[in-house]
Amino acid sequence: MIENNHTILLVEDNEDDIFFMGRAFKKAQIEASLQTVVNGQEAMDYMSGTGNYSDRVEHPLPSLIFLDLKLPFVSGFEFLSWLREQPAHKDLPVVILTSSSEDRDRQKARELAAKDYLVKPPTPEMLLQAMQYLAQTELAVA
Amino acid sequence: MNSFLLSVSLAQHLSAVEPGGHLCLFYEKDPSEQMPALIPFIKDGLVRDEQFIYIADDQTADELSSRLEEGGINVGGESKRGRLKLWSRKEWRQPGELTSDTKAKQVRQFISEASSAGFQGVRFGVEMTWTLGPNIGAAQLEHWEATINTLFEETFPGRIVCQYNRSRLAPDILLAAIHTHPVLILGEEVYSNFFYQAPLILSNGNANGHSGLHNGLSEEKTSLARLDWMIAQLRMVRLAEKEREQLLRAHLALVERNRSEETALRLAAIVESSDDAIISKDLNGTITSWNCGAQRIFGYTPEEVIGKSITILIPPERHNEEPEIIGRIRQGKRIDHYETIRRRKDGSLVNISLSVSPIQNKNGQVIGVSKIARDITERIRAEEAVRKANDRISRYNEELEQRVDERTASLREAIAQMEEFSYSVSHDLRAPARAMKGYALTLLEDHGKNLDDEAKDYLERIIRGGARMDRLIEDVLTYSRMSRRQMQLQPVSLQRLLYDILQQFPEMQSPRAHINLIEPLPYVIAHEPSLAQVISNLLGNAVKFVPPGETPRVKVRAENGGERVRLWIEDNGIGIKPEQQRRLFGMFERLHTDKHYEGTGIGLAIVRKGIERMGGAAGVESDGISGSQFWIELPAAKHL
Repeated sequence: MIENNHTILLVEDNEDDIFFMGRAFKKAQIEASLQTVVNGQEAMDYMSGTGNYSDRVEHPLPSLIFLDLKLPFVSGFEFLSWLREQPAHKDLPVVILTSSSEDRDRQKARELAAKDYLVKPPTPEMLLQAMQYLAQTELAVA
Repeated sequence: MNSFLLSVSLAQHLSAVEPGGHLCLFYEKDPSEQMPALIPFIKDGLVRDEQFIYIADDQTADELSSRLEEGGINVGGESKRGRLKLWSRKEWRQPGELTSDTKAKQVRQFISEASSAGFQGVRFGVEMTWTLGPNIGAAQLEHWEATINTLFEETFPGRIVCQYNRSRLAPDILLAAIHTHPVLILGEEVYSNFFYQAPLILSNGNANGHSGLHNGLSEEKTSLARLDWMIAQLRMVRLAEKEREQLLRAHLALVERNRSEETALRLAAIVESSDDAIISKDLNGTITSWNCGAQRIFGYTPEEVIGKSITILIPPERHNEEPEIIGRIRQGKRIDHYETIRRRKDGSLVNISLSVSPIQNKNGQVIGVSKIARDITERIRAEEAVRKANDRISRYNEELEQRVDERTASLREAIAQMEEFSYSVSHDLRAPARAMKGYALTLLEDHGKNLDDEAKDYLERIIRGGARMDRLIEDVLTYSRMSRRQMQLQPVSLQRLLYDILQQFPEMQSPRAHINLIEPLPYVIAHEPSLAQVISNLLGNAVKFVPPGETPRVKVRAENGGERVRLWIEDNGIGIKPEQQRRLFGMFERLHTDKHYEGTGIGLAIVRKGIERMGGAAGVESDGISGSQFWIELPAAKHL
């Protein structure tokens, strides 16, 4: 199980999906704090610690991001390509959540080094599996 | 025999003497008179490689030689070859008494000698004056000729001409000669001898028959008078024959002339009545004939053009055509359907098609030119009109094609937009479907214990509805993807693909189902993800549509048909009635209601769309009772 106060960032605009993600988390008994932003711009602000998210105590940097692709203003992929350009975050594990299993999205996800590609709704099993990426990174860092 | 003598000349007759032929030739005085008859006789024999033996009497061998040479016979050469023997009395007359027997023997000997020497036969020319001896009488002569008649029968390889000198021989001898030869040559005429007493042959050494000097004759007593009379009779008859011959010939000629006049008249009528211009000219280009058609087309009357040059009809810029035409004609060549322009009397131009041929005389020399000119103005005009019409049609075609292209482009655009729309709508429908199912589930999970069974049942229905909706949306999206996605076609291993699919779906594995792969399964050219979808759908159906309680048994095999591979998926399920097979691959077509077998009705539409886009075909065979055999066909992958 995961300890050490990990923060997981969920980038998702649909409130139902946010609800279900939270529920799956609870069911999977993942002890990490789940932060949510509702669009790509907010995600960028969060990661760069600007605007509402300058307080790193309130909003710690995540060790895993769940990213929905269909977002208003700045799309999921746009955020992701921005993220990969940040030296501090370029290896941050990202799991893509979407209701679309389009080929081209998968291709792009691969290109931008997303760890996995999950089709909504997420089940507890899927989340637990996703947590493995975190463990790997942990080990790597250590 | 009489009729053939009518038109046959002396030379022809002498050349046509048959084997065993026996002729009698009378000449007045000079041996040279024999030559017209003798020369052809001899020549014919030499040509047939027969020997010729001449028994000379009145002329010497030298005189004879030079006469034969004059007649075109190579005396020296033929003598050397042994083909020509000129004997005098001495060689002919053997010592001893002249009897028919000895003579016959002698002749037979000559024949056999000639035969041994390789000759085809023998011809004899015998001057009878003293041949038979100095004191020959009529009776003896008859006897002799009878002997000859006996010897020289039809198949005898010998022919003989007996020559009688009228001035030297006694009349009764000559009479005897006449009686004993069916054909008499007198001078240059051949007479069918009606005084001939046939047959006069030997039997028992006695001449049978007699000279019949009394038959049908007048009262002239002396032999000479009788002879003269007979010859006169022969001549008269002959003359009459000849006159008749001449008349016949004249008549024939007249008939011929009439016929050719008739023909000529008929031809003239044809020429005149023709619509085409028929013109003849000489090799200088001067017009020599001019028909009605020519007048009609060119406007000139015959009087205006005959004697003038053909160039009056030719426009100046085409004057060079005339020498070219004449040139070809001189070589004996024709010109057919040469299209050109000529000028009428009034100066206007006319399109014509020319056919030109040489006029030859009986010796084959080209003496003039015949021209047939057809007015093709109408045809040219018609061709123009057709050409214009064709051009118009091509233009319309082009316009039409352009319009079709444009419409197709806008149609394609419309379809693309619609597909885009249905895609995004379907996609967007997933979220609320998800929400519906998700919250119902949450409610059930979190508050189920507070709910009665009815409430729980309702919630379960909501969940099922949501799930179903999601499946439908997914299928529509899959179908839409099949229609839209770019497909890169590559060799795909059916074997590996089948293994992967079977691994993925538990409902396709034992013990829930028995799927038997008949290996090896070949490679095909396809788009792998789409093919995976297609086969999954078919296998999914195969295991789903079984009678309740029955374990699905599916056989998967491949048929290699050279260019194409057909994959069969054969199940033991409920089958598909033949009348329903038609609708099977349509969109949203379901043959069974929800209660028994669930499905969206899109699965097979996805199969059909996917396979079609990969350039293949799909189908089903089923009797409606004992299972179905679905098949898909794709191009085979070569070199593998």
